[in-house]
Amino acid sequence: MIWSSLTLRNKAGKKTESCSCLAHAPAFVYHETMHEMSLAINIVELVSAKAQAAGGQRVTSVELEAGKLSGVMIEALVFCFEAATCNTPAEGARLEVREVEGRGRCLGCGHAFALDSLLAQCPQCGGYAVEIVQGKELKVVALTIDE
Amino acid sequence: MCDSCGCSRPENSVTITRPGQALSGPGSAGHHHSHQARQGRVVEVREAVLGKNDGIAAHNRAFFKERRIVAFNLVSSPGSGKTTILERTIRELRQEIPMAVIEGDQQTMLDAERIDATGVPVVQVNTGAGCHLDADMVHQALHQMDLAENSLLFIENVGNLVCPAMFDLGEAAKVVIISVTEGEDKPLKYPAMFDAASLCLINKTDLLPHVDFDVARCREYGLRVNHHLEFFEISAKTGEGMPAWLDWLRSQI
Repeated sequence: MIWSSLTLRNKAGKKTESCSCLAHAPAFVYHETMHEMSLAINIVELVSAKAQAAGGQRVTSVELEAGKLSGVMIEALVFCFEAATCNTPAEGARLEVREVEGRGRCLGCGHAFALDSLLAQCPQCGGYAVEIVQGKELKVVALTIDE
Repeated sequence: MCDSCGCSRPENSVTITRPGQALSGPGSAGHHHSHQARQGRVVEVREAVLGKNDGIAAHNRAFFKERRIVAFNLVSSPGSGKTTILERTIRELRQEIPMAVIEGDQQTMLDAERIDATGVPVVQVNTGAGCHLDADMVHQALHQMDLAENSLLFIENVGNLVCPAMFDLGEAAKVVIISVTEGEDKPLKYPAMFDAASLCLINKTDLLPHVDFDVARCREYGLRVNHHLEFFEISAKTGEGMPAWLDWLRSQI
């Protein structure tokens, strides 16, 4: 896996220090080659904090809800999650992903329908002006901890 | 069919289809789960995966609002002309409106140097191998800048038509740029980005006589994905079409 630290440079090209405010507790912020890796790291940070707050030693599973229109490739996320859990309280945890169907509502005729792409056409009137009402969510629903 | 629980295959969101075949939909829902019974204590969470990013983005947005800074997140494929658009925009507007730029690239100071030559404040964010900017990177960059009130801030994202769509930076709007040397079908191929954007700049229109790019079709495809999307056709090189884009920027302050 490729890890790289973020660098900020001023116009002279000189590297600048990370800001010291509370939002930046770690000295370096790690980012990766695809957004699923970012998401996996976010999940691991979130569940590690929640597990600790709940008095758990180890996270054994994480339940995730992922909308089909959320822009996430589940296979890549599961792969990245395993890598991201290394040396964390979530190491070895299973990532259980429940996919949420996309739902849209046609702004032309009001028809509500299932969709699996942001490129949505109303099956009733053929219009493309569709409001996405479900399927973009990406959230951690629950985790299981060993005490 | 999965042997253990009966949920249906295919399980992959990747689909493989030959030309002429109907494009198969992504795999059906819900296979990515274990069949083992749970042990241990369940802790309810119900929090967005990107909640931390969204929180920092909200912090950035509040900062912009307080200073009356209007920030735009410029997103596109590599090579669409983002930096050239910024250079031209800055040259045309700098007498009227204070501006600043945050440049995002995996490596090099090249874009920041180009912007620096225009005389406006600029910070380069190098993400290393990272494929997008996130709100925290912008926050850190903001700590390195002294931004004027009632000003414009352009955040030039890493050239990538996929990943930056997911990450709110605190901007007022995402501006997606497509150049006529790309296909007019980009909105259909990368809908997430066009869905997330408010404005689309079709750049390099000076090359239209030499390429097969169909502007009307590009607009139609963009509107299929996002019926709120607005368009400007520009050539940052010749200046054609720039006045409408500049007027739009003036109207945002």
